[in-house]
Amino acid sequence: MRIIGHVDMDAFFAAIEVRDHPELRGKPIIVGGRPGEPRGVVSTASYEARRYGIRSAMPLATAFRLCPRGIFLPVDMPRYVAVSQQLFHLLSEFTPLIEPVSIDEAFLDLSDVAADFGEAERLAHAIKEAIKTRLQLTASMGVAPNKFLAKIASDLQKPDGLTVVRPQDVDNLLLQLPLERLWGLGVKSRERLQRAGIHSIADLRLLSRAQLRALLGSWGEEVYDLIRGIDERPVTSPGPAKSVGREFTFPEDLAGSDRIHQELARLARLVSSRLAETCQAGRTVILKARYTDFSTHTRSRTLPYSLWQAHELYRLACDLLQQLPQPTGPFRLLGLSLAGLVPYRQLPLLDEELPVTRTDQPQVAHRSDRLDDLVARINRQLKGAGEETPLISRGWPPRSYHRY
Amino acid sequence: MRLVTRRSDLVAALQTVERAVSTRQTMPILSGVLLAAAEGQLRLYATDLELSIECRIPAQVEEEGSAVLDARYLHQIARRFPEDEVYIEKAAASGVVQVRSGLSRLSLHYQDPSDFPQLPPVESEYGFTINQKTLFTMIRSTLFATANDPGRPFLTGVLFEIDPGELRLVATDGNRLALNRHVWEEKENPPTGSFRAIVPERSLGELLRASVISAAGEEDNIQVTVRMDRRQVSFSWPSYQLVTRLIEGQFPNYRPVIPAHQRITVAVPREALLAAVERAAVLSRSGAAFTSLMLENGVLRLRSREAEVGQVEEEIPVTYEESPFETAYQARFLTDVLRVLSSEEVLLGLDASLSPGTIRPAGQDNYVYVMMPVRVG
Repeated sequence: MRIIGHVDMDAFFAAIEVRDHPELRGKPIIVGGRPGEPRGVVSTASYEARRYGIRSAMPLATAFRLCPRGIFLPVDMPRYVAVSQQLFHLLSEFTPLIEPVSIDEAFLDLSDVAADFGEAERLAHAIKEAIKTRLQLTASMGVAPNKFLAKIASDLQKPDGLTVVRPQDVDNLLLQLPLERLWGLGVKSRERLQRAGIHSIADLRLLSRAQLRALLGSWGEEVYDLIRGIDERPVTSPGPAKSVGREFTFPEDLAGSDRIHQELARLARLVSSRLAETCQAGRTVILKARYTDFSTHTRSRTLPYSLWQAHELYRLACDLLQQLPQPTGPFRLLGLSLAGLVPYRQLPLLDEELPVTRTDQPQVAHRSDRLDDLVARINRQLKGAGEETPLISRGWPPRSYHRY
Repeated sequence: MRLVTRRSDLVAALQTVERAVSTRQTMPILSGVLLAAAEGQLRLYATDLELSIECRIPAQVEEEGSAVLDARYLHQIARRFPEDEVYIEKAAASGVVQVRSGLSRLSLHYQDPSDFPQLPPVESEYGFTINQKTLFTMIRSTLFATANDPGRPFLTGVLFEIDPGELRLVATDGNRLALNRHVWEEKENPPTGSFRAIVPERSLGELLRASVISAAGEEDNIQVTVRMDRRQVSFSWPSYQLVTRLIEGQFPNYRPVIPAHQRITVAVPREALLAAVERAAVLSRSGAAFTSLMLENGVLRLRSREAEVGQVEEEIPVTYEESPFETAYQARFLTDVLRVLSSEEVLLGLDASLSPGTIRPAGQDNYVYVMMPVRVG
């Protein structure tokens, strides 16, 4: 018998802000860009703000109209990522089988760590308690025989809830749920079902597999099983990362060669320092760009060798930039990533940054790499677990690269 | 133009010059080969403006002349001709060249030879002659270490560094370096001046591949004439010539990276080491395997791991009694060099885990290969 848990943090970003700024407690908090920025959207609204009808992904302008006295805070992603890492570390103390769904949400396979649902319930209480005392945040949890039901369950008593669905309760629960609880069902599909007179999961259960397929496409066949409590999908821990990358959405359109290159250098530095932490390198450099009309383009290049150095990444990013339909922007988003990862880093014999033509001491050729490592290490210590813009960096970008 | 030649000569020459035929669409004439008959010879010439190859084969020339024919069609049909005697005749009135062999007859439209671009001749008289076998061995033992990175064009070729009486070929991709040195004997008419040239990797690869000379290369006493100016270099045999543009830019000063002294030197059987590294590399899924090298108590141990697959371990007995030592290299860095060397043993030179290692053929002091290790997390 499988026992699956689903952990979902309550109003994660807003809760972190309240935790770190106690004077905000009890106030409507809206995290997402800044007010007055027309294109920002709500990332998270506190439960107080939700009473005003504010929801995630709502334009900030709308949120501002609904709740002009709300407290609007910018997204401080590095801080949230740091807390998320603490959360996943905490969860890993309870079970090794964790499947992250997002920054604040995960499936846990409790089958091997709990003998039955009673024990799983006690474990879930312990997890919630640990989150409360160690992170000073609250989470809602669901415990059920599979992932589909666990996720439904965690949502039933938010915030700070715990719902356990034992195998014998599955039918009772499913038959009383409205369509909205069927996660994975988009608004368009739901409207289509509602036009067909289907308003609840009980209604859906009256349809045959073929009818569901006709209404929902190939996913319909899966739905046929899910709404009967059948879901064999395993909880899978992510393997080693396939790529390492970062992207920035700019608060204002990014234009101008200098500023674009500055951002590319910043991206290169961040990707490079992340690679330094895991001692990895990669062969495929990928540049992603989104223009103000939301058209998104990627350009990539696979090299015959693997690299990790920020200056090399920057050099290739500049080449890829020139291959974009409009290299001068304006950009709404730029992202840089490295794929084709290998678990080692080739040390350079001749370093371009410190050409050996300038020195007769062979040892000096490796100084650049050592410096990269040192910078990464110091930054790691300075910033703790988070992935912040490096606090110190070498003179960057090197002036000679401005010719691009 | 009217001549008779042998099919075997024609096909070998076409196969060789075809390597310089351009696939660029911007100049269609470059997909052709220039045929020129004069003075008992048929000259075949092709170029892609970077590289040009010329072959001369014996022919009974009844009427001198020239034409440009599509290289691929001519080659593919000529190699299927029934007889060894081939007649080539230009019929200017109908705008075709007829190529006949036995009862087979091929008519190909030709293009005007005066439109065919030719690389300018090498201007300088600077040059030297060298034994073909020596030159090819030097090229083969360095060529693999060039970079394949358009961002660093000056590393995509082999440095020809000539000083009085001495030629050094050097190639590096920035992470490893190969150097082969040749010293002329006084009676061999050695070069007297100094010259530096970076010769493109591709051109040297074509030189090694040229079928018309590789067969003849079995003989020990064939001499190659090498001539260079600031823009080009030519490699000439009596009936074959390859001219290539040089790579512009400054080759990095490589001397400081060749370790003058290393703490550890171990002699290792070359083929055993090659086979061990090749086996160790099999597990790698990325195709970019690395191998740990461990020295202790008379054993060189190689180990390769691939997450979620497994590991390979190899042991080679060596003479080593110092304190245990460990380092790691990309498998390719080892196999590349071990494949091109021919000595029975190689000397593995090591210093510290993260400093450069060297490989030299035992008993020869004209070759050194320097490679940087990898750092493993």
